[in-house]
Amino acid sequence: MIDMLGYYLFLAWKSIRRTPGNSLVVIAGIALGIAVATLFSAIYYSYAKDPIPEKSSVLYYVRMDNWDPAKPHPDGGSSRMPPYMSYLDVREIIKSKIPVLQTAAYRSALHISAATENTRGRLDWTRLCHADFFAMFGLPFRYGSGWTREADEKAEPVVVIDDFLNQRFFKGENSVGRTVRIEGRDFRVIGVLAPFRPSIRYYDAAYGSATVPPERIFLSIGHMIPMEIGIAGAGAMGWGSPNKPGFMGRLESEWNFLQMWVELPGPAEVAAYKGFLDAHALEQRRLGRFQRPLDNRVTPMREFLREQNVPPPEVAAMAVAANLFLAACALSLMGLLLSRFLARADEIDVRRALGARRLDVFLQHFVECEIVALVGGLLGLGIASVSLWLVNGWYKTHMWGNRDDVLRMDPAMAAFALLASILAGLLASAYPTLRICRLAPASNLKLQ
Amino acid sequence: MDLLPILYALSTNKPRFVLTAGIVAISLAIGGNCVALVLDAREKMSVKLGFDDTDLVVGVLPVPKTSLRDSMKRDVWIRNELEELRSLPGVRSLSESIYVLWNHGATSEIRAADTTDELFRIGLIGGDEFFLDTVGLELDEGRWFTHDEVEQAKGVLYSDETRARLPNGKAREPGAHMVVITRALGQRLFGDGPLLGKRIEDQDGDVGTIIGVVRDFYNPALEFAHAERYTRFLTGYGHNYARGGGFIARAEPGKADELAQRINEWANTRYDQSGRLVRTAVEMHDLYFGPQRMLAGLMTFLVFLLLFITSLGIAGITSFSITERARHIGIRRALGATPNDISAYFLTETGIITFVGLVVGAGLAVPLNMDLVKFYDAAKLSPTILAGCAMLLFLVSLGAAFPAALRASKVSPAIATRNV
Repeated sequence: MIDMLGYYLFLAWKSIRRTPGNSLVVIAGIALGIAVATLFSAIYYSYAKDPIPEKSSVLYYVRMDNWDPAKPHPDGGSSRMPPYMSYLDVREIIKSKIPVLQTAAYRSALHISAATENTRGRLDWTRLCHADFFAMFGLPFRYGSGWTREADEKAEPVVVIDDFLNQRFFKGENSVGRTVRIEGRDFRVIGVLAPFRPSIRYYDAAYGSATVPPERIFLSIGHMIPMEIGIAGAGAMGWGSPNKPGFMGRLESEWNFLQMWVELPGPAEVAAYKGFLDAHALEQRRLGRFQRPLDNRVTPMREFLREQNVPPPEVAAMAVAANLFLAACALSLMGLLLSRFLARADEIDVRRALGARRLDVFLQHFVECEIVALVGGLLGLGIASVSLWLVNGWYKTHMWGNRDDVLRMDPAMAAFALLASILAGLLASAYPTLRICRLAPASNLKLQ
Repeated sequence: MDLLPILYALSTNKPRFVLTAGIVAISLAIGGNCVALVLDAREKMSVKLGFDDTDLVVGVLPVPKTSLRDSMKRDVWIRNELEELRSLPGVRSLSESIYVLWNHGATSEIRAADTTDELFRIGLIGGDEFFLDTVGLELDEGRWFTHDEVEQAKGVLYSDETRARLPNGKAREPGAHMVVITRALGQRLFGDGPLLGKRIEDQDGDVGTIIGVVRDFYNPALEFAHAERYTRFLTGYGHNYARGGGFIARAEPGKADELAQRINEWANTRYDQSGRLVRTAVEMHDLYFGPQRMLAGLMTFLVFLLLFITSLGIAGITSFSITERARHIGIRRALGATPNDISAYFLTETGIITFVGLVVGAGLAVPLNMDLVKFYDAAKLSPTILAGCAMLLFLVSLGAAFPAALRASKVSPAIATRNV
């Protein structure tokens, strides 16, 4: 059968050349379907792809319901619980030895300048986090590394900056050991990140901020209290009144603003950690806090991302519609393939009369359809890539985050495009091919 | 026209019949849902804030905390910067405020004073004496804050540092300040009727007296707390400047883009900052509705592609079926059928098949929609949308079959005599 493949390819090429108009329309139809399906699938996949495959199964997001006993948290999501944690709780649960790695984190904006510059500095997004943050989320370092857990406790004046700031302040040189000024204090650069632009900011995707780029400054959370660094991100919310005035009053009230992540190697640790949280909540309940029904959650990273609408539901709905569109394209092309094949019924008759089996006729046409489909598929993939680039440009000016690299054509999506074009070819050609090989030998010859 | 021969012909050629109906059905199922998504997105985007925001720009001064930790110094610095902004050409009015259009999430909890009603969550917006005019809000009752009231409130009423508190967290001396609220909030608190002089109480026990009522104000960012229409306006900045000095400016009509650019250029000469200091309200709206705009745009495009591909499919199959039945047509013509009879025959046939396809398609569209709604929070497909889409598809289908039907009418009766 394989030896015949070359012959079928030859026949297919002849057939395509003989009916260029019909071939062009079929190829264009497949290309259109593949372009649409691949574009929308690629948009979906840019959000839905596992952002950190080696870690996503062991990273968990921690939440505790410390909200008002009178009513649940107003968050409209399905969770109805605070998305962030209070300092009161993080301060205690961070002492747990169950997680292999753990970090609390929040986002702020701080002024940074080179130590030599006597300027106000520039305001840049800053992540305050624990030492484990970098190892947990696999941030790539160009120079140096993150800080130690000891540095968290002592609030050592060290900082990790991103590639952009390193270019800005140190012309891209190895700046480890050099000094920058942040809010008027000197900080020693301990690490410089390599360019890091994940599609999804997977360590902080709450409140529609998933496509916001990573922060430029990473500072130990140990500086939060001495420097009184408040949150500058979305969704921080509290209930009741602080017992004390000022920054500490805020921190020591039911004011939720901290994201808490833990790395737990297996289900036993997850269960143990959950038990630990419940015990903490019950202990706090005796002190008058946690008056709501016990609800503490340890959510796997990818499940948490889905809860935060990553991928956005409308993107998923569009991907479903686009793939159905491909099916509609394939069905619509069936009529064209039918007329294309039956136009040469007499030729088939001759082949059948000369001894070609039905299977031979079937294979001949099947190969032809798949070639047309693959050409269309490749064309469609090209169109989808260009369209994706255009949509990315639109993202830069019309979506939060001001970036044009959120959507990507992953190799998996290119493979999808080719597989989908083969399937579409199969769907479009199934009936016409069967129909043509059912023709009785010589039935059309009589008509000559 | 006699339908029986058509139905008989259809029954003898089921695959073609099934194929055409299938194309129509799947088009209606997808197309109907796409249209529902688009209309829903468009409806969401048509929300109005309760005032004309086309000429507004908003921004936050990047307060250099480094040298201005002292709040007095910071206030002076901000006031000077805002004065300079106010004097820029093209600024019609400018108000110091943290109100970020489309994206404003500050909340608090209140109830009617001296009651034990349950506290509920509302939006909180602070603005100075210029706020009402700058934003363009309309008062229903009472008045807005005066300059003196704004100055008096600054750094005293709302500042955590200066409030002495009881051990239970309530303020030692409840501030008795003046508030402006939205009509909707007033109605929820006190029902219909005049609201001036009524008193409200917040979660800290602070009491405020209503001095003004804003007719209509909508804050989409508070949808999560069902507080879109419940807003309380505070005198002045409403907080300290720790987050920077927010402002909102009204440009001359139609000149918001120009003003935004001018302010950004002004800012670039003063601050080492990549990015923009201000955005126009229109930009804020577009950013807020970014996902909806993308959905509406791409889905509309998809609907057109779908119509195109569907008509291509129907045209292809009709054309094929006419080629295949050329002899039948010849015989009918030879027996006396006019060209119009032939065209009408094929159009009627397509109409019948399309109708069946639409019925099946409606049957598919509904469960598909239920799945989309369930899993992806998509828009509900209304019978009106479905009927409208079906009507459109019917016309497109007939239009697609028309050229082939015309070709059929030109088949010569002589064909019947050949090939016996």
